[in-house]
This record gives sequence, C-alpha cells and structure tokens, in this order.
Amino acid sequence: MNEEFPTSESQELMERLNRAIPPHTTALPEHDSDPQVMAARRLARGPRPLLSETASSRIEAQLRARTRELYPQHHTHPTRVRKIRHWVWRYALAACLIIAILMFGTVQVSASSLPGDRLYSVKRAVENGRLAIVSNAGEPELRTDLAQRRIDEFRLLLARNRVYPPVLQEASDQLNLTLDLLAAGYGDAAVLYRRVFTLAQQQINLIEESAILASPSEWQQLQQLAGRSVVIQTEAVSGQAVYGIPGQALPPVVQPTIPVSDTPLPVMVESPAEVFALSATPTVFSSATPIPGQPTAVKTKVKPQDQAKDDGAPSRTPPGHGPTPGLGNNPPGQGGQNPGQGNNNNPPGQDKPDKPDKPK
Amino acid sequence: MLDTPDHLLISRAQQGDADAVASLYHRYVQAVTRYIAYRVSDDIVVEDLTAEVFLRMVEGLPHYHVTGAPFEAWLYRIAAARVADYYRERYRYPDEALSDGLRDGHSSLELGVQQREELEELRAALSQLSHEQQTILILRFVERKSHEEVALILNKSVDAIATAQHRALKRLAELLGTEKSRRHYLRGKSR
Repeated sequence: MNEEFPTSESQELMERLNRAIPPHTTALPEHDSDPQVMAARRLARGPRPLLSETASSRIEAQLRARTRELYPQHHTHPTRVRKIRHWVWRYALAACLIIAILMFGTVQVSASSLPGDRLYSVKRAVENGRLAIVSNAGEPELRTDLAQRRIDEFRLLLARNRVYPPVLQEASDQLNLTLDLLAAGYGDAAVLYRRVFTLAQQQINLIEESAILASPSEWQQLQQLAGRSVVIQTEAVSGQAVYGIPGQALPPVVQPTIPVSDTPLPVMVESPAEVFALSATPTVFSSATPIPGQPTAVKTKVKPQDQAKDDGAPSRTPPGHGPTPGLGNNPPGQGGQNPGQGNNNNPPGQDKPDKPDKPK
Repeated sequence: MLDTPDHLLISRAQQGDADAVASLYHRYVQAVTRYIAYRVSDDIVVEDLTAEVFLRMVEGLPHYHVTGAPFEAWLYRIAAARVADYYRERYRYPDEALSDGLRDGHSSLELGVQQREELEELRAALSQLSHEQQTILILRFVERKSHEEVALILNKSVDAIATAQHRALKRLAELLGTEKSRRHYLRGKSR
C-alpha cells in the first residue's frame, strides 16, 4: 500500500484537501483541478439527508421505553418537580453545611471558655458527650485530660484575680476516678500515674498561689483540696510502684507549704517503697505557717523514725539536707526546734496558719 | 440540556435518566443518520439501523467508560458495525423483498428529488470502496471532520488515514469522473 501511495504523496494530498475542504466548515474556499480533490469536493457538496421529525420521534420513544426497561428503579419525574426537588436538596445541603460550620465553630470557641462565660456550658456538654462514648480503656486518659482542663481554668481565672475552687474540686474528682480506673486495670498505668501525680502537684502549687486572693470560705475549700491532692499523689506513688514500669518510680510526695484541713493527713515519704512500709492512713502532719501576705515555699518532711523521736511534733529538714536541700528558708529564730527552720512560733500540730491579708 | 457536556449527560444516562438519553440521542442522531444514509439506500432501513445504533447505545451505556475519545466515535463504530451486519444479512438472504422506502406513507429522510438522485449516485460510487474507506470519506468530507478526528474515531494513526484516504479518493475519482462514461457500478455490477 505504501509503495503505491507513498507517505509524502498522501501527506501532500491531505494538505491540499485541508486547504480545499477545511474541516468544521461548509465552505469550499479553493478550487483544485486534481481529480481526487474534485471527487472529495463533490462529496463535500453532496446532500445532507436529515431524519424526519416523525422518524426521530419514533426512535426517541423506543429509546425511552428501553431505558425504562433497563432502569426500572429510576423514576422519571416531570421536569418541574425534578427542578424543585433539585433546589430543595441544594438548600437543605447548604443549610446543613452552615449549621455544621456554626456548631464546629462554637465548639472550637467554647474550648477556651472559662466558668461564667456563655459558652462554658457548651464546653461542658461536649466533655460529657466525650465521656459518654469513650471506651473503658480510654477513659482514664480522658479524665486526666479533663482534670488538666479544670486546672488550666483555675490558673486562667487566678490570672484574672479570681479564685474559683469548684474547678479544682472537679479536677480532684477526675483524678480520683482516674486512679480508680487505673487500679481496675484500665488505661496506660505507666504514663497515667505519673500524669496524675503531676496534675495533683499543679493543684497544690495553684492553691499556694491563690492564698493571697482567696476569701476565708474559699481558703477553707482550697485547704481541703490541697489535702486531697496530697492523698492523690500518695496513691499515685503507690500505684506506680505496683503497676508502673520498674525503675521509673515517682518522686516522693512533698507536703504543701500551706496547712490542709478536713482531709486524711498525708504521710511524707522518702520513696514509693516507703509508702508500702507505712500505714495507708497518714499519721504525721507537719505544717509551715505562711507569713501573712507572703506564702512561703518551705517543704517539710517527716521520716517515720523521726516521728517516734519527736512524738508528733513538727520538724523540718535543715537546709542542705534531704531530697530538697536548701528549702529551709525561714530566718533563724522563727520557731521550730531547729534554728533557722521555724514554724513562726505556731504550736506543734497547728494546721491552720494565720490567714494572710487577702485583697478583695 | 443543550449545553450540558457529554460526560455529564453520559453519567446521568448511566443512572437511567431518560431525558439525558434523549439529549444524547438528539445531539448525534442526524450525524449518525447521514453516515448510514450514505451507505444504505433504503430509507426504512436507514431509520431502523439508526434506531438500532441508539438502542445499542442505551444498552451499552452501563459499561461505557468516559475516556479521551469523543462519545461520537463510539456511536460511529456501532453504526459501522450495524451497516456491516446489514450487508452481511443481505448477502446471506438476497431474496428478501426491499421496502418502498416509506413508513406510514412517509419517508424517513427529508430529502428533495434532485438531492436524492445525487445521494444515490454518490452512495453507489462509495459502495465500491471498502467499509473503512467509505467511513473515512464520509467522516472527512460529508461530516467535515479533521484527519485527526477521523483517526481517533477509527482508532488509527493519521498516516494510516492519509494513505487509506489517498487510495479511496483515487478510486472514487475514477468512479465519479474518469470512468463516468461507463458507470458500471450503477448497473449493479460488482467490482
């Protein structure tokens, strides 16, 4: 074939045909005397038969009938009904989208709300929803997250000179529930005991910071919460020793610098091992009286053997001794049996310090 | 519907939308009819084959995949196959009576007498060519497709189309011009 009609000749003819009979138009601009081009032009000028309207309608009816046979589930509606349905769907979809966006935005904004804000109830509702659907295995982690949130809320309120103990109360509740769940075998004990311990410590720190601002009634609640935090820390240390990773024991529980009340008194321990050596019920309490208007950061520890010696009297570790050396920062002569480690002349066992002046 | 792209109509037709099927039909029915009319002389047969092409389209749509090729390429391939089948059947049963070209007393094609004569002459000349050559010439010069489009429809290279076109036109020129005096093909002689 290619010998009879070389490619170059065919290409040349194709180009001449493109000039004489350009595609996509009915125009025939150039005359060409080449018999092949003339034959092509005759075809191009030829009649263009049309299917009659009647025949076209007949075929269309056949096609529609065949379509209905093949797709019986497809209900054909009159055009107007279909258009209305189309617009209804579009508006419904748009409305759903807007509602979803608004809800998502509200939830996002509510996440940073604080007690007293309008969206705080939304935040709590979302949290309750999460608690309702969370699995047993995930619940301890979620509850520690919620405790963290409450603590953060307390911190932010404190930055605005507001003391709101109920959020810390709830944080303590969540931490207690977390400990119960961990003891029941749910959640990642190796991680969560440590986190519970840290959160309880954050609570104690915040309570100490809020001493200046709290009213007498709030201060009483905060003291109770400080005591609960110490108990929570003690339980976390015990739990970590039993269920945690060996060799990654939590640090010893440090007594808060403020007195605590109406709670089981915590035992100060040196290490998690000592938690088991001691009774579950704390028996020793020590306190350092804060200087009015200036809470101190004094840490107090009592060892079991010291307890026997001192017969329950509060004692302090001299500066430079013990696991937190250098914390005995009271000036000499401020009470206590050891010089430089006074308890501000409070009688032994006093658990309620002079309330510092609190700005209202 | 008029401006709706093919792929959207195809998608809707594949879900059983009869209106979309009708739109595709109206978009391509005249081109398919012209192609068949240049290859088959009986108007009734032209209408029947056209109907068959679109019925095959409806039945084949569930399996049709939109690719780079134009939708009409698929329709032309169905039409070419239907015409080939028709001639095969006619060869097998030559004694079947031909219709008078009228259905319900009306012709299926809208065509004047003079145009009908010219069409008959061109069709008779084209019928002396191979099926593929006929398709190339009809698509290129009656439908005014470009060589590239013809190549796409026939799934061949442009060079192959150019060569086949060269051969077909040479033969058509002989049939229509240089051998005009003899016109043996009009008397029903085979090549």
